Amino acid sequence: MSASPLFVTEAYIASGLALGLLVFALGAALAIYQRRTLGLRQQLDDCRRQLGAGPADG
Amino acid sequence: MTYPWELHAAALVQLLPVVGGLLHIRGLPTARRWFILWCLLSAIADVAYLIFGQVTGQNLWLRLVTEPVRAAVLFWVLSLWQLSPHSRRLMRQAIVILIPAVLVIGLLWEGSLSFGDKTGPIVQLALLAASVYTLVSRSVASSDRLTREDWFWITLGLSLYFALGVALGPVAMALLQGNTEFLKQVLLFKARADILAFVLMTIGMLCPLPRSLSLKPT
Repeated sequence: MSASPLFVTEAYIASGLALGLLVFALGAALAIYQRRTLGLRQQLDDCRRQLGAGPADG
Repeated sequence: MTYPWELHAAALVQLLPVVGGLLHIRGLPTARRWFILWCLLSAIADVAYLIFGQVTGQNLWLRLVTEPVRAAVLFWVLSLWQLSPHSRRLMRQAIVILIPAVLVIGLLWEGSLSFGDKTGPIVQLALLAASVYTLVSRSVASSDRLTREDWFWITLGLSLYFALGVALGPVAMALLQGNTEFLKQVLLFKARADILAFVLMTIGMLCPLPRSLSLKPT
C-alpha cells in the first residue's frame, strides 16, 4: 500500500514548515543565550575589576 | 516548457551571497571565498539543469556530477569554520569518504534517471548535521555578538536549506509516478524556502569583516 500523492505533498510541506521554524528557533535561542552569556561575562569582569581596585581605593 | 517564477528566483538568489562577497572582496576570509565558489557552482548547476532540460529533455544525470562537487566544496567551507583541529579533520575526511561512496552508490544503484532518492538524503543529512554542528559549536564558543558573525547567518541558512532538502529526493521520486502537479507544489515550496535560506546567507556575507581575519585569512 502506498501513500497518496496529496498526503506525501502535505506531509513534505508540513514537515518543511516545522523544520524551518525549528531552525529559526535554534538560531534565536543561540542568539539570546549568547547575549545573556556576554552580559554575565561583562558583569563578572566588572566585579573582578571592582574587587581588584578595592584595596587600592580603600 | 515554462517554469514558475519561484524556480527562476531560487536559481538567481544563489548569486546574492556572491554579490555580497564581492562588495568587500579585498581581505575576505578564506571561508567566505570558498562559500562564494559554492554559490557560483550552485547557480551554474541550475543553469546547466535548465539548458539540458530544455534542449534534451533530460537533466537528472547532471546531479551525479554537480552534487558531489558542491558537497565537497561545502564540507571544505564548514571545515574552515571549525574551532578544533579534530572537527576540522572530520569535515575534511567526510569529503574523502562520503563523496566517493555517494558516487559509487549513485552510479551503480541509483542510475542517471533519478532525483537522488538514495544518495540525496545521505549527503544532505551529513551537510545538515555539519551545518548545525558548526552553528551550535561556534555560537557557544563565540565571545562576540552572533548577529555580527558571518558563519552564524550562513550556517543558519544552510541548515534551513538542507533541512528541507533531505527528504526532497524520495518525495520527488514518489510523486513522479503519479500526478506531477503535486511534484510541482513540492518543488515550489522548496524554491521559496531556498530563497529565504539564501537571503540569510547573504546577510552573513554582508557581515563586517573581523579585523584579525581581514588581515590574515583563516
